[in-house]
Amino acid sequence: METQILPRETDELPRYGGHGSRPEETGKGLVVERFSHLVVGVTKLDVSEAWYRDVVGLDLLGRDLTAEPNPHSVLQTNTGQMVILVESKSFDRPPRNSRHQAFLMTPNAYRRAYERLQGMGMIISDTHEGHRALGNYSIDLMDPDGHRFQIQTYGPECHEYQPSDAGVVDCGPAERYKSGDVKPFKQGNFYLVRLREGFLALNRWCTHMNGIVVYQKAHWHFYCPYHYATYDRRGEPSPYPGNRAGGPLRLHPVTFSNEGHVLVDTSQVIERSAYEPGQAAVPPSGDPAQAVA
Amino acid sequence: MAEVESISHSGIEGPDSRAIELFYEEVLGGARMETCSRSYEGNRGGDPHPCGVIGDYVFVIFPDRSGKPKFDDGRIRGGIDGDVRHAFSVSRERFGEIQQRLTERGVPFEGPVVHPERGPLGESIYFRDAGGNYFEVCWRRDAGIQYAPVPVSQG
Repeated sequence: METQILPRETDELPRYGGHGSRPEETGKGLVVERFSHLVVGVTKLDVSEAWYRDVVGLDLLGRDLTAEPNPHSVLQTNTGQMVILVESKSFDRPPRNSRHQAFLMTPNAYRRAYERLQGMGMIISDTHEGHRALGNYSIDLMDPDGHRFQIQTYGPECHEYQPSDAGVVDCGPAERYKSGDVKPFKQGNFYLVRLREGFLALNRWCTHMNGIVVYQKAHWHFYCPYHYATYDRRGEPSPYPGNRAGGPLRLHPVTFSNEGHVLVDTSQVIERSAYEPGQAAVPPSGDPAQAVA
Repeated sequence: MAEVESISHSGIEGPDSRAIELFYEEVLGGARMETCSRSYEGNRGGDPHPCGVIGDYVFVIFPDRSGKPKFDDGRIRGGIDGDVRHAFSVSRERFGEIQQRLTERGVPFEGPVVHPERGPLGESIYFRDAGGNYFEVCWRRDAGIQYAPVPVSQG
């Protein structure tokens, strides 16, 4: 899969995934209500204020607006969350570790940030390059004092079906598949699943945010490594709290050749809200398989 | 208008990530996100890192490998000497409730500190989580302003 560098142009952020609050799943009430601000120590307030305003793109509210005892600057995001930069004489440069914060932008703002950083001669990189779902974008940044940040966005393509150009894929004789078999087809990007009631061709794009699902044989489920969604062998989201799966995995139509081969038409995709036995294609022999699906 | 919509998450560290998770759940009312990275890292590489959600904010909790004790300086209000401080807000009416909750759970805190009236904050209290990370809870004078909604997951 080719990694796209920039999202498609839009000022809208799509419903994005991986993060979110679901206190109803825990049964516990939330004590604090929302994130308010991040306090960041800096050595030179003028330099850092300019960096957070001009490089990151935060709005500057003003100086010394809070009870911080040291000189400080208050900057704000569109959601009212703030970054408060506090000048510190005893500042120690942060060690290289896993600590970081992430700024979320619209796709268009991200594109502007990309151009801005490139124009400044920065090497644009992402520590997780190649390990993000399609439509997820991220740039690593260091502020003037070595605090690690990420600039991130989610493009509209993260929720759009990505068609294959494989056309009709011949998966071989139907009789070769036993009930419970799951076979990946890289050409066409789908899994062929033999259920007791027939065949399903499950598209591999995760319906949550366009990761690529893999079959985990030991667990009898499909798993998306990007936001940890899982689906059963019918392509239905596994019924556990916190599963980030969207709707069921999409289907491709399955037919059978005169020779009894399984044919999957990857040029067509079937969206569905739930699994129904009628979705499984029954081979001409009609032989229900022996094992449990 | 800013170029940034929100601050979406932080990666933090502590010697015992489970203790931090429990602190967020028990003290701040956070929720645990079920991820594969609790015990292994799938295809992303790096250390195991559980995730916790507090309100509209996500913490990714990494093991602290520095071996540096974090509580030995006795500081409660900090986060400016090479670290950061995370601040959450509550309504003014519920601000006292937070202090009571910290007291009941034996979490030492400093404050309340009153902020200047010309700024966006009302009052704050300061404390540290189970990993020594700096925290603040405040009420905000600008609570009535309609900012853009924080984009959190629907999925």
